[in-house]
Amino acid sequence: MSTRSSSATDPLMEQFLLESREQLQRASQGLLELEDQPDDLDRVDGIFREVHTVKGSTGLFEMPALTRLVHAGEQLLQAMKSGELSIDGETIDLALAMVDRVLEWLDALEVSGDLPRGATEQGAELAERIERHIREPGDAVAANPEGAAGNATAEEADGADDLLRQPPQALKAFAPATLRQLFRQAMDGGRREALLLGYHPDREAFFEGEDPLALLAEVPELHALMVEEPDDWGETETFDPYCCRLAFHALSLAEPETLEAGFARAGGQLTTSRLAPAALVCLQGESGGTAVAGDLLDEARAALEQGDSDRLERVITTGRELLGEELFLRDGLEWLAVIESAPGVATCWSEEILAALREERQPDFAGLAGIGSAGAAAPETPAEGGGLFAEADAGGGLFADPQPSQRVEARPDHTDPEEPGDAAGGLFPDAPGVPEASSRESENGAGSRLQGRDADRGEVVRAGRGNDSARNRAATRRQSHAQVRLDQLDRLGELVGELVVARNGLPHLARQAEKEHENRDLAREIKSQGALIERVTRELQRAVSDVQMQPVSTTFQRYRRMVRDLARKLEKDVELVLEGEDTEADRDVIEALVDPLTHLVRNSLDHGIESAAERRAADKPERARLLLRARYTGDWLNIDVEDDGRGLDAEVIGRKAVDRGIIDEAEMAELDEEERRRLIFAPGFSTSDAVSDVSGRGVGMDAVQNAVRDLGGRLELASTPGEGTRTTLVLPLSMAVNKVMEVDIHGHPVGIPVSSVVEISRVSTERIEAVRDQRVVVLREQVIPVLDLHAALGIPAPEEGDGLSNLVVVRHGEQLLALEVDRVLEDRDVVVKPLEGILAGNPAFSGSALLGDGRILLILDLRGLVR
Amino acid sequence: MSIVFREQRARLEGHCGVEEAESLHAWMLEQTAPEVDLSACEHLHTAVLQVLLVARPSLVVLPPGGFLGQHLGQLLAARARGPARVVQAADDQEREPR
Repeated sequence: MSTRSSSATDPLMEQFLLESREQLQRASQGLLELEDQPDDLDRVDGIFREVHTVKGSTGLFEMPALTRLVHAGEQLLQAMKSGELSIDGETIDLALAMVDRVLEWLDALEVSGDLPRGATEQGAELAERIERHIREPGDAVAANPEGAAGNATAEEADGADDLLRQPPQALKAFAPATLRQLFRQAMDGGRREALLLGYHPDREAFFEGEDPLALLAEVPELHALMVEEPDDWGETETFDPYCCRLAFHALSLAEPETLEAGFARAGGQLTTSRLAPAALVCLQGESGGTAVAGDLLDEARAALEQGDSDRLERVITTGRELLGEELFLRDGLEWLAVIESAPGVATCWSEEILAALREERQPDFAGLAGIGSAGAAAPETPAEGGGLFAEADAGGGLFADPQPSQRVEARPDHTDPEEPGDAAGGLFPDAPGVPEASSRESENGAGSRLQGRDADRGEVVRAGRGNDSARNRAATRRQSHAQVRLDQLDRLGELVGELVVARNGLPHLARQAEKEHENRDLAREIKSQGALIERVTRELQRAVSDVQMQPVSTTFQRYRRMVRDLARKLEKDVELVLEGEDTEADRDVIEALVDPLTHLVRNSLDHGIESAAERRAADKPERARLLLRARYTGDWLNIDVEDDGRGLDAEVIGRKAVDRGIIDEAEMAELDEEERRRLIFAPGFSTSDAVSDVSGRGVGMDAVQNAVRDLGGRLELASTPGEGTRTTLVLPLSMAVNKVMEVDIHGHPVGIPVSSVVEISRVSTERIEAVRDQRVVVLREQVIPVLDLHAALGIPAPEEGDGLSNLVVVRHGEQLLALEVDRVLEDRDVVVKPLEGILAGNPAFSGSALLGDGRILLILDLRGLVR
Repeated sequence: MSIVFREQRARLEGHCGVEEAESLHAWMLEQTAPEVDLSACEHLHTAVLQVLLVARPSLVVLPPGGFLGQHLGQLLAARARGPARVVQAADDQEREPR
């Protein structure tokens, strides 16, 4: 495989990776939601569009393996859309497998510019599986004694709607002219239903004495036949003509029962789809002709609105002259011509075609007036309704597809001098008026007589799903969002932080101006400018912080997939409920949450939630419930992971802790229920089975707890045996710029994170007692260990005290600690930078901050101190 | 049913059954530009169709009507790698090859 530039140097690739990832992730999410609501056609449609777009983009890069796999996925979704394939677990599995694989490949592309090794083979294998599943969902029946008709799947009435929304893929095998002829025939026959057949004989069919072609020759009213060949016939020398490798698609106006009777004795697979005439409308072709599209479509629209058949005729003629047959737009105009020449159509059909052409999609006829076949619901339009050209000859003239020799390449600046009233410039003359329709005969002899259509028009039901202008608005509405690279966001945050610190230097300058230089005016000026800068900086800080804020939904949604897959693996039925998805928190906080949350969710699924049998025995609903909830409480973000499983049994946990040697029997006896449950957080509690693939590191709940504490938060636990468990992560909302309390320890400035400070107390030194080598103080009836920071920092304590101790009481996790300091100074906003050099290994400090006056503040790491 | 091979043209008459597929295929492999004349053919077995699809004749003459005349043409003509030419015999045309 040729090496491509990696995304770092190729902006096109970068864009592709960015967009495709998002599209695939949305597709993945959609698929999970679809599993719960398989009837949600809009959702299938949405997923299809995402995959379709990705497929289109892959065409920009020469990566056939990638295109092939995505294409297979697109076909799978197409089959799901048209109702050919039922949306069950297996189908969704395949779709998700495709998405996963492609996402993996995108990662590889980003790193190396190439697909990973073995991608071609793996991709082909998966694509084939998908293709096989589309053809033969479930187990393929090789020789069905009941005959192929036993396998026949006729579309149900609600499946018919799907076919009106998007034509079945197989229709594209047929020439557009063929489809149009069939449409016309069906409409002429009173809106007859067409049958789309798919017939896939077994490979050994010939040995069974079958001749598929002979069967097809017997199909009554066979309108068109197409054959599907295998992608690769292999070498001509090794070709075996006796192995049947063909599949057939056919269109017929016969009755389904007649047809199925004919195939009754045949083997292989037969599928039949009943198509209302409108479902035959399958626009095909390439993009192009955009230069004239707008004018043509506008003219057509006007013509329809006015019921002006001549005007419409001119549009179609012009379209034929300007647009090549291979163009989508041209195909649409041909369909327009056919529809308007058929009896029994309603205006909204043509309007929908025009809308579809504008948006370069297939027309969606579901729900439009009179759209069903006559066999289905009663038509809503009067039988004598019809297109503008309804009385024109079917056989020739304007509304038959022109012969190939008449094709003309697109020439946007063509003007036909024959056209009456043609202005020198512009495509369409301002029509002075419609000539008397009934007396006009067109040159090509087909005759286009305006039927008493104008009079009828007012009565024709203009049902439609919306008007053109609404759709146009939607199409042109731009997203009011911008993409921002994460590293740019980080940089912004850093810069704001530095600005904050720089701002902190101004008060000091003001003081200097006043004291050292005795310039009061200057001092005042500096202070006032400083205040202004401070105000603006705070706004900026808030703004950047808002940008950094992200709703937790992005993280929560990840769990859908995980819960689904894990539940399936464990054979448990689990419903994942997400609440408070819109709750926002700092991006860094959310990122840091992923590992702990994952662990908690896995825990609930693995251990918390019982098997279906156990739940039944306990009289609980078989479907277990796992709740992920985000909410604010004051300045904190709370994330709950709650299950309705078996809960935490304090006894069991206690015994396990003793077994593991974490505590002894005597200690255990002293613990109350709550404390015993909390033993699960003790290091060494979890067994090796908890060394899951969560992150490879850390074992069990103590890892979760540490992660949360490092973020400046804590874990809360609540559980009722038999009913469930709730674990709550309590986290600060923001991590970027920290507020620290400056304290002085014998001239050394030290910062304590303000969010951990519980209270500041000045107590007489005598109150600090020693209990078993540990100094403690009793404050508000709580026994709090006291830590002398001088000792902890290796600084000599001041010799004489004044009998008073300054204690800063902090909370780390659930633990309280009283820090003894010399002086408590002010709170500051600082940007904490990691320690470097010899200080880096010191467990007591988490980092340092540069103060406005140039001093360096060491920031305490409470975790390190506690140990 | 019979197949008559004359120079580069194979002419199928009547019902061309499954047993003819292999010999037709073998013959086509030996020609540089094989032509297949179906104007007198009433039906051909699917196996024979497979041969026509794989071996790519340079010309196929279709019968004027019937199932083959109507549908085989569409079928063959629509393929990207179809025969170079597909023509239809007219009703009044000499059935015998030149």
